[in-house]
Amino acid sequence: MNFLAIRYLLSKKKQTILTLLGITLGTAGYISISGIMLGFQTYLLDQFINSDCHVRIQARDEPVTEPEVRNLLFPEGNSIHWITPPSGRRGEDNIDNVPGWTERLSKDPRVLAYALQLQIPVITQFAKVTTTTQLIGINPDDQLRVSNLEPYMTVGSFKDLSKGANQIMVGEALLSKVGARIGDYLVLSLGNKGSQPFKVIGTFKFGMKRTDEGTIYTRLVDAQSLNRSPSKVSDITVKLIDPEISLPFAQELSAKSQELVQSWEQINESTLSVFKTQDIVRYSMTIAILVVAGFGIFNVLSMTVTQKRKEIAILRSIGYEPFDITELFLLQGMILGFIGGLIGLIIGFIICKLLSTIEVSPGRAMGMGKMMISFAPRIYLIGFTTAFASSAFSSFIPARSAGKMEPMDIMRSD
Amino acid sequence: MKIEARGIKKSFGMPPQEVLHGIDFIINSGEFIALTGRSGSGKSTLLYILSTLDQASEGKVLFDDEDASTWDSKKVHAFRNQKLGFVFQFHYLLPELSVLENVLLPTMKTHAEEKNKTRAMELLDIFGIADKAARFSGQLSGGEQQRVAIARSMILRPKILFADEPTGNLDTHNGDLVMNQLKKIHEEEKTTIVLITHDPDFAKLAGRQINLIDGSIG
Repeated sequence: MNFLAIRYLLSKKKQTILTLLGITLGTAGYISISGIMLGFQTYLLDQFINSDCHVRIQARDEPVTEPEVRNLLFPEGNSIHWITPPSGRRGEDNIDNVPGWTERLSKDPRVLAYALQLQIPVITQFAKVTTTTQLIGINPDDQLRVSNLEPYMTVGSFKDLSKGANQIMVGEALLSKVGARIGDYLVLSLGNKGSQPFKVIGTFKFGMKRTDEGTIYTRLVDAQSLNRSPSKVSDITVKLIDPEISLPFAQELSAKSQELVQSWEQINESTLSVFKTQDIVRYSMTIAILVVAGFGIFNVLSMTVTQKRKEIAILRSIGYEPFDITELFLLQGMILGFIGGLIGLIIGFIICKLLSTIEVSPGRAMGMGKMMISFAPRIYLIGFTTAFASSAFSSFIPARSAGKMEPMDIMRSD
Repeated sequence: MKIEARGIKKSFGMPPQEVLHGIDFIINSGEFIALTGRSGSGKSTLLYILSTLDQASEGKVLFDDEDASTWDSKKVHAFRNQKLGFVFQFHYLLPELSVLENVLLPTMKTHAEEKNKTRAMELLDIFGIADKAARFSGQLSGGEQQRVAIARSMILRPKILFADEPTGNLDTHNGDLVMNQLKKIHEEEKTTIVLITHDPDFAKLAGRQINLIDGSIG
């Protein structure tokens, strides 16, 4: 029946082209929007997972709660009434037992690497320009084993930090904000703890304005020296062999320690919830394709079945079975879905290719300055499968009704 | 192929209204039968029951002593395809197909179109439309279209040809042409023909007439 199905489609060119157009545009739209959204997500996930760390250990800094204080001070007292309920924050801004942590992490077979950090807010000054930034003290070699930072370097290398004291790597945006250049000295101050000049030896660009404008990297010892707190560590970043176990790993460590241990999923929870919203939008689009393609085909085939009643009668009278008739109309829908879906994939791919050449403005999500587009095969698989399956499904209803037609009923009604 | 009608009754609607009241007859292999009678006498209903397109409310149709009502759908359709030919008052050609493809339509069911191409061209030649084999049905006259429909019904050399007023929509010239071709098929291919006609002259071309009066043989 393939031959006849194709002839039927070719005989009503206008309808066929319009239906194909609906399927094609729906599929191409899905491919390009999914490409943009997933490209953006992949970029951010890459930053979360690879450019930062899988698990972060920090000094716990939590608000004081009334039940906590009550249980601590009056373990048996059920009838305690506070005149003023306890409030405030408790905790330390440094990790207590750093050697204990390093020993533990060194022995854990799930850990690939870890790095110590001291993060402190500093006032950055260049000439008369002043801004607040976050100074991150790192051991460059350790940090590079944990985080994939080098691709984001625009000038120099993180390893250069090891070559001397009081050197810094700054975000490109920060350098531009304070009007400094490579080789200039920025003065970093910590209020009453004094200030020190640091030489700019390199720049990076993560593509996130907040980070690029407000982050400075230096050696851990230099940060500790500026802070006047030798051996103080505020964060330990951990890279696991399998990033998929980040959450259970963090939960396990958190339960056994006083420190705050968070996986990358927990740290970026709000952003990941945005991804979920984006996914809902994408899946809504999938449903939209399904409905548009489906209705188009349903309409065309329903009309065709009505117009071809006499032909159905003659086909049945010359020996074609109900299944043959169902197949004849089902094939038409499947052919439309297949071709429309395929053209949609090609057009979607071309659109994505074009989009990936667009330069986006600094501070927006981007990799090497171009728009990040995902070409993940699953986007194309879902797009095509959806278009094809919805076409087949919606053609099944009129096809089945055509198959159920009895030649005598058609002849009597005519 | 012999056709035997045994006590054929047919009712329609609710409450049931009987339009055929127990028809019994035998059509022998190779016979040319004309079913005649006024409009509403039940000729078409009887023809469709005889040709397996419709089912009797009571009674049975036997082909070479085999009860068609016991056949499953697959066998009925294969029987229609291989043993029966149909010509209707309206040609019912598929406008998307060429004349030759229309003639070959029954053979496509069993993917035997290539094997029957020569036969199709011979039939078109016999019916004087071989030069129009590549045209579409919309480009033919009414008489030509009906001749294509007859060629289509004959492509698989059916044992029985059912023709329901094949000249009903044709002028005298084309009507004569079609009837002469049916006669020729009957004589040359020894096909059993069951023809419904209102025209007494055409009915006379048949070897025997069965006249229906209000659902019974008159």
